[in-house]
Amino acid sequence: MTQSLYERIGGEAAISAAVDVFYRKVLTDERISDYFETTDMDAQHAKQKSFLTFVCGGPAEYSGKAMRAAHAPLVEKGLSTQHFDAVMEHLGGSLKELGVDDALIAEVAAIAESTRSDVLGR
Amino acid sequence: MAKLIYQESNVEHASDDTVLAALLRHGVDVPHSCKTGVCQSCIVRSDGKQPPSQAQTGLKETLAAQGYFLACQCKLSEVEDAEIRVSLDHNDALFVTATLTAKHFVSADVVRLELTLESPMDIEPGQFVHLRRSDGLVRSYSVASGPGATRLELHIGRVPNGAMSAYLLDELAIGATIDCRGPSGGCFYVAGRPEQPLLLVGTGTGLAPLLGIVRSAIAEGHSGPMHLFHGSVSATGLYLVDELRELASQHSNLHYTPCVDEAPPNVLNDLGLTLGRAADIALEKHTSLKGWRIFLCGHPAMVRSTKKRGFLAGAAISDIFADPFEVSPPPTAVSHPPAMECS
Repeated sequence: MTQSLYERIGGEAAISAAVDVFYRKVLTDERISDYFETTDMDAQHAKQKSFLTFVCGGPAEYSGKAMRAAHAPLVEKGLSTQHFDAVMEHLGGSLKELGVDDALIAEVAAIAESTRSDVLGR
Repeated sequence: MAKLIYQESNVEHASDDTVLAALLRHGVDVPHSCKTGVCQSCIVRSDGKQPPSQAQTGLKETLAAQGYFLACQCKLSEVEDAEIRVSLDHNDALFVTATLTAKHFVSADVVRLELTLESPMDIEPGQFVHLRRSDGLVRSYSVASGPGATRLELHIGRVPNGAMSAYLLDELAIGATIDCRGPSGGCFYVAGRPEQPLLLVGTGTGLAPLLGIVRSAIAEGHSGPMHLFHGSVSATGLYLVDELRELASQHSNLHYTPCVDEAPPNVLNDLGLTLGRAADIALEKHTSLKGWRIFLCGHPAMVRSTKKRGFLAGAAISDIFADPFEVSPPPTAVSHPPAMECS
């Protein structure tokens, strides 16, 4: 049986390791950190984990409608293409840092890219 | 195949059922969403026995230690015990009667209470209990005493216009009783990784849970360094300074730094205090927190900002435990639980 992308990445353990790295990157990037500011870091962290699980082909349900609704207030505040690109950059950077190979990162990036229109409300 | 017990009744289930599926079919209204172990909506608690560890994947270790697990991730075929008892009423423990057995003012506006419980309660030091006055007023206070005690040590700070704090400071007398329920909260020490460095930062009576956590860590034989920073606006707000110094002198891995926002130089010198905010001092001294465990208690703004700073300094989110002391808001305001009068 062929392993899923999620399994090839390393499953839950790999996602858990990646989420802290990824969240730290977005929080320290002045281009986008404001969009990630929150009073509840645990909830934000759980969302990041859910997102990473999804883009790595893992067991997370994705609803374009919910994604649009969740990001609509951010789009109002100016969320746009360059912010999405910055997140993509950190996603790839985080996986690279954890030793995931480039071919897998490209697969992940393709799934993440598919959320662009929902996130940006287009 | 394990039996599934909910509210004392046996829940029928199929061989490949999860706890969530079986409960839902039984008509139990379990909150749930993704069913994949990510959203954690379906968290329930196992009463008595530890649930299978794979059903606790992703949960904070403090929650896991209390037997919490994700109902959707718990296949009944994988439960090794003969039965699993599941509860949704985490906070529905009964109140027990507590008698005030000691009361000392440790500063002008902080009193240290010793409450003796009528029956023992399974409390992890650092968690909080809920006190209920005879008229029904309930407030929450963190536990400073060490593990395994039926005598609870609480530190009560005076809150401006605070009904319960005024009652506890000024009225409740030795021998009087008050109802006590608990415990709640996930900010406590869990044994394991004894060599891990600990950073503990608290303001005001945020010292209470930190003291409980330190006592707990000492009792568990924690061998890594423990750095405790206690902050207050002025020297009069600090308390138990001598006791904590004494404790640190008995345990070479415990380091205690009392901090004040402002004080004349002679006071700083005489009392050996550090000038500055506790969180700032702590993070200036410890710039890389990768691999550390962090405990933050007290002023909500301090807790929030330090949580972020600690995370950015390298600590894993799962290693940061926080107990923001939210003062009970005026009736018009909205608060996030737990609403706590600064304990």
